[in-house]
Amino acid sequence: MIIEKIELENFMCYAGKSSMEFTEGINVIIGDNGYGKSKLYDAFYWVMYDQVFVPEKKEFQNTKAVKSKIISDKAKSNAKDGKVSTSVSITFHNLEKDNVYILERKYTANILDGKIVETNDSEFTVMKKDLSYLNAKMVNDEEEKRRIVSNILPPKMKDYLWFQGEQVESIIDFNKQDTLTKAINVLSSITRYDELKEIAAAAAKSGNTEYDREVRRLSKDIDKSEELGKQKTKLEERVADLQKDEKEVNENLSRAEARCEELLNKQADAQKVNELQERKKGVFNLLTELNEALKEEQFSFHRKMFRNKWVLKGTESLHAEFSNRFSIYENRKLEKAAEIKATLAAEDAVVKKLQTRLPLDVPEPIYVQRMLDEEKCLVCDREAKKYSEEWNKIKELIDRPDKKLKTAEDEPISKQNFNDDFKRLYQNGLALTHRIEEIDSDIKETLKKISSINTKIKDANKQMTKVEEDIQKLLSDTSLTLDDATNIRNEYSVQNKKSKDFRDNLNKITQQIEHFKSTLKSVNDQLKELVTGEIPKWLIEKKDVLNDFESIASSTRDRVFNNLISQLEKEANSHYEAMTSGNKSTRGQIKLRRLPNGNFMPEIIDNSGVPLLGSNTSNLILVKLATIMAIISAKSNDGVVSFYTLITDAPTSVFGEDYTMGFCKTISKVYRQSIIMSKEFYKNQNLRNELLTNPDIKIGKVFMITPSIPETERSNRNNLSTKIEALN
Amino acid sequence: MTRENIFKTYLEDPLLIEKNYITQEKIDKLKIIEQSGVKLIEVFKLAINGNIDGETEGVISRKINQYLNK
Repeated sequence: MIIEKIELENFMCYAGKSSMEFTEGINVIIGDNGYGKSKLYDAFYWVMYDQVFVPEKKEFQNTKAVKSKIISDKAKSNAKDGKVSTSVSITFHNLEKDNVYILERKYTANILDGKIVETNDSEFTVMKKDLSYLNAKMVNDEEEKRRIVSNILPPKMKDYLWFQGEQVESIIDFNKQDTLTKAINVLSSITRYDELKEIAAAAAKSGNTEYDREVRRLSKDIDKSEELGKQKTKLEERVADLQKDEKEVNENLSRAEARCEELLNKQADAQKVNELQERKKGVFNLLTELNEALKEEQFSFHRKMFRNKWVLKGTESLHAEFSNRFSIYENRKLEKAAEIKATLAAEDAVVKKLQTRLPLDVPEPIYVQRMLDEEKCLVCDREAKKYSEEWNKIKELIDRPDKKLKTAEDEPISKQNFNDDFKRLYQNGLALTHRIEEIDSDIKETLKKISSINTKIKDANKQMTKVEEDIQKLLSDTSLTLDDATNIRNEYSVQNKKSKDFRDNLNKITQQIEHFKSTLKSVNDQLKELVTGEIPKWLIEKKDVLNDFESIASSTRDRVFNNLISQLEKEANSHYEAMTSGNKSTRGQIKLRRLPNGNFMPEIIDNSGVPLLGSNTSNLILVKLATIMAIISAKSNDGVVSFYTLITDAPTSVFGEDYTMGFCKTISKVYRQSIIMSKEFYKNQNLRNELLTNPDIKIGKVFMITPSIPETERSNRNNLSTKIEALN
Repeated sequence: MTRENIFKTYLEDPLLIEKNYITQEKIDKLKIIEQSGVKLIEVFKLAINGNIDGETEGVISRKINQYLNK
């Protein structure tokens, strides 16, 4: 059965009419996040199960709950009063019988006065063509419709054939031991062997009862036989009870051992997480110290402005200028002093000269003045005309040099005497000049220190980011939480102790069962001894045949199951190897490990059979996918899943691009038809080209979907539609 | 898995030869639609056919019982 076509009308982001046709092989719908891949998956799911995935609730909800939300916003906004509807139809073609089924689901809402009046239910119709070239007939019988849907995709297989990327992890849950067994039961024929085993057990029990009845009937001592019969029943009940206990303890032991194993697997990871946590603590302390140091340096930086005289930076020339001016001032002062000294010397010379001619005040000044007035020397009685040499000589006697001398001595060098202040300033400035010279190197050193602290902080921050990323990656890869990592050792001790206790208990129960069985045999022998006459041969034969049937049914079931496990392991490894071929870091092979309770758990082992610790999430998911593929394909004779189509939304998103091609190759080999929605091919053009051209991939149809409005600009979705473009 | 496949897996059990129910040569030639003449093998057939045909455990047990009471 393959899906030939899906037709959508006004379904969510697919406004208007859209359709896609598919063929055998791997059909791929390519689109980035928010482009409508999941809505397309919803369209398939809605037709089959009347449900769509509601991301806000993280669950599938019925049409009844989502109502008109499944109708395209564009269709709703364009609709006039009347009706607005959405529909999706899928055409399935059974290529072997050449019959066709067209399943369609439709939801209609009414519009009254521009408002939507919602209805509750969708309409589901099934059309059938007995041969593909005949006209389709409507299937009206509800039971027949259900049968057709169930035949197309049996509910118990649904989870393994139609799934979203995020669901892969839960299909085989490593924390629930029986999920693999359940998958094997659902997807293989082992349940038939289980049923036959039960039939054989019931038949053997009935045969034994009949035989015992006959043994008691032929007893020579009825009372004793009765008593032994009661004893036998009690013993059988006791054995049955103990076997129940044994099963329960086995379950507990399996759980504890699996947990121990899991913890042991995680212990190395937990150790790594703890080491990283310690490193984080160290880096945190370093960061705290560095931040303190930086804070201190910043405070100190401000203090140093004054304490280390950094405010004087740039004033080097001031002191030189002052020094220059002070020097000029000093020079002038010296010059002035020299001038005065010279004047004084000149005056002294004049005085000396004067004193050699006449003593001071000789003649007395009043006579000298009279001589000047009369223009006549009264000493020698000679004429001395005004301004003549003689007159001037007389005048010199009145212009007393002692007056000038006094003036020269008292004359200050400057108007105000700042000499001392200037000198202090000069000396202080001189002292500071040496500090100013050091300011640059001081600032440089401080800035260097701050820069060094900042670099260290930056490095520490980088280290912190790296450590945190490593922790997060490790936690995500190993599905550990921080608490797990911390408590793992304690929990391992607890689980290990539990395992030991369960094993002791199991030994005790096994011994008790052996003991009671041995007693039971003795009781049976005693009963036989009481028989008089002959037990009919046909009854003995019947009992033996039925007990052998029970024994063979049980051993055949175990043999088939073990063979199935070996086959699954082989198949799973072949798929795993193919899917991981693009990634050289992938290690190990899949081993389906048997637990004490008979369940199996997939694990990755190395070549010598030792479980590999710390496998990453991608690896584990691939192990699960490989195991599921193996189980599904094990049902078929040629290893190809022919009847069912695999539909999966973003299966590769959980394990990354490296595995995408391997996954596609494997899928195209295992499933006759698959439809996958992927964003990896959108982002990576080379990958897309390889998908379309790789000869190892049996490619079906490839479509690119593009929304009319990018996801980030969809405040108004009334014009949102999705373009579908066929790439091949 | 067809009824023939299941039947064959039952015939692979060593107990059949150990307890001299049948020889290996006969096993190799045996088909589910053929009479084997071995009661245990006929019981297998009744159980397998009944199970595949969707009969209940009670019905199958009764048929086996009737067959072995002959």
